[in-house]
Amino acid sequence: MNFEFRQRSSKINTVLISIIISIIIGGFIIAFAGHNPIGVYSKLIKGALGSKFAIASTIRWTTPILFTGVAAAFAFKGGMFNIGVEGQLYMGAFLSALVGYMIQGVPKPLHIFLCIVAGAIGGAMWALIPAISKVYFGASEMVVTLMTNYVAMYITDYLVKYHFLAGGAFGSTLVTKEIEDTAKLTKLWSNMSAHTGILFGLLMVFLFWIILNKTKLGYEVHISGINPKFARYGGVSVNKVRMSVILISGAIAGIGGSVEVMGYLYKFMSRFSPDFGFDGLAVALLGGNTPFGVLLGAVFIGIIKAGSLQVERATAVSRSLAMIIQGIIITFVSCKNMAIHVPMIKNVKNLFLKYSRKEKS
Amino acid sequence: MNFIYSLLMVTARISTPILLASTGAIYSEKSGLPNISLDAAMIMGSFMAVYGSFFYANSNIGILYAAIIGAIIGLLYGIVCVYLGGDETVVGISFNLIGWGLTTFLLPVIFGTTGSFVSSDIIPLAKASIPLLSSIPLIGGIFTNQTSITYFSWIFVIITSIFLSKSKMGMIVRTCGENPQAASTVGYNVKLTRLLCSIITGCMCGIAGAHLSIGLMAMFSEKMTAGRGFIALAAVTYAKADPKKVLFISILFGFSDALSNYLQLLNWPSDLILCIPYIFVVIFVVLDPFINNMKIKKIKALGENVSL
Repeated sequence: MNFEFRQRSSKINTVLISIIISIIIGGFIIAFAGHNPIGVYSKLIKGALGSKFAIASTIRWTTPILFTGVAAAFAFKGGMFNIGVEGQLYMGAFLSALVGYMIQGVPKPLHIFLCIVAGAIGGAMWALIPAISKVYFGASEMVVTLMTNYVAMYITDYLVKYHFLAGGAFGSTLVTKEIEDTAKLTKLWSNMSAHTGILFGLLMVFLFWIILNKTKLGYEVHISGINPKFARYGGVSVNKVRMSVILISGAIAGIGGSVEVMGYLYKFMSRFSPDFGFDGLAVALLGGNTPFGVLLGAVFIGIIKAGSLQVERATAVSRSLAMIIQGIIITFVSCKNMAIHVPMIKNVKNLFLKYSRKEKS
Repeated sequence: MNFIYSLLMVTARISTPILLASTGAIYSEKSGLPNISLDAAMIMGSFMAVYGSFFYANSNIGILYAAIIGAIIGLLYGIVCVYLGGDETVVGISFNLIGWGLTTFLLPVIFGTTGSFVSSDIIPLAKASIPLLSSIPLIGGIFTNQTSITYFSWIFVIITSIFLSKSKMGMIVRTCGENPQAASTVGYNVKLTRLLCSIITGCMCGIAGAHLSIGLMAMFSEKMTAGRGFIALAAVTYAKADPKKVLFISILFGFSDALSNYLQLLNWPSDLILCIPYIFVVIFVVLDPFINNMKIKKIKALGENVSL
């Protein structure tokens, strides 16, 4: 059994039906928890779009997912299943936070640039392990990346606890020192959580589009993903492509981590990521691994995350509801035969209309 | 020598979830539908085991509930993948997301707490030792103070091995995996077989999860499987669903887990030690195709034809 991931484009029909079904199932789960589904959903929408604060929150939650989504989508395009985005995010964030507070007295653009480079290096370095195991040892990158996720979380915890703890040996939370002001990204509006990282994220989506459609690398990635044998006959070094794809994917995830540190956290915090990596994976799958799809998906997830936070504040409904709804959506989106059932529904409707017309006459 | 005795005892206890989950996954794997939602069935099993044990004051009800919810997850997974045409990898991962999300979500709803749920009213599984066998000097440890699930998992490995190789139904399962077109031509319902195997896998993973929450300790915490479902998946994949190899690999992983527990007592940094099982899996996964390649090279060097 091999886990070679084959690309599959999602039809719009399928995505829409999946979203509707998952909203309905989510409604049942909410009702089971003893809350009013319509109330919860309306609070969700309000919490995501209902006010300037809400929109800022949505922007804040969309930003990291733009990075992890592009990272995952880029890897998928190359036929590689990089689930290790979460771990690469952590490593990038950690290195970035270090560069953020250890380097002092440099102008802001330079400092931010250095932090981003550090993030990319951290992520790519962490992605080197699954890259080498896949290309030189033939191991399944899915299992290796999954395992490196957990290792990344533990290693960063260890590094913070024993070597980089803010407040010396008596620090109370697992955080590093706060980064210099010259490394912080400016907020879009004061007192709200959105920051200029969103611009970096959008730039990343744009770069993804350019690389994929306008460069030789993008072509090679595309072909290697769809049909590695054909790629090899065409002279593409599939091994080199796979290596670069995983490393670039890791670098992008690492940059995502560094943007999160520079724009919101201002330090490295242990276990800071509420599944940004898996959300990115979901977004890439939902969006069919295309740049525009990732953008839409990331905004969608950003809305759900921002909204579910507000819901958690206002009711007792946990924010993990968002995870459940996401999971249900992806489950149904991946079903090839979903769109087939739509004509069936049309047929049933026609039968029903015919029958009711007969009754009238 | 006492040290080896207790280390083996702990190993047997800790490797049970991975062993049971991966042996259950053999059925799915052999029938041709790889089941990636092992972690989901496991975490739901852990949750329902605590639920059953807490509300009915009986740990066996906990096991029953865990088995039922695991079977349900296996059923849903089978339906979505086989009948609705879902992609197994994608559906597997999303089931895991749903499993984690649902258990985290239901913690406050059913038990009124967040993060984790501990209570003295959760009845842990009863532990028993087999009288004669547990007095054997070194390996007796594996027969001492183990739960019913642990003993069951060993019996289950033997049952699986015999079922798959010697029974007619086992042959049907294997055929559906190796050559589904031939199987359906002969008249076997490949889709139904895969669905049933998925149910068995889910059920076993649920019970494995029960051992995790009420066997080792008596609590449930968010995402407590810590990726064990994926480790079981790695075990099945790399053992190519051969029951004996799966047993060996699962115990190996369980041993690394037990070792990490033991090392934590020695005041080494706990975070690094917790990495050990995962690093172990990575090393194993990386070396395995390497070793396979070397075997193939050896055979080729002898001049024989090798079909992979």
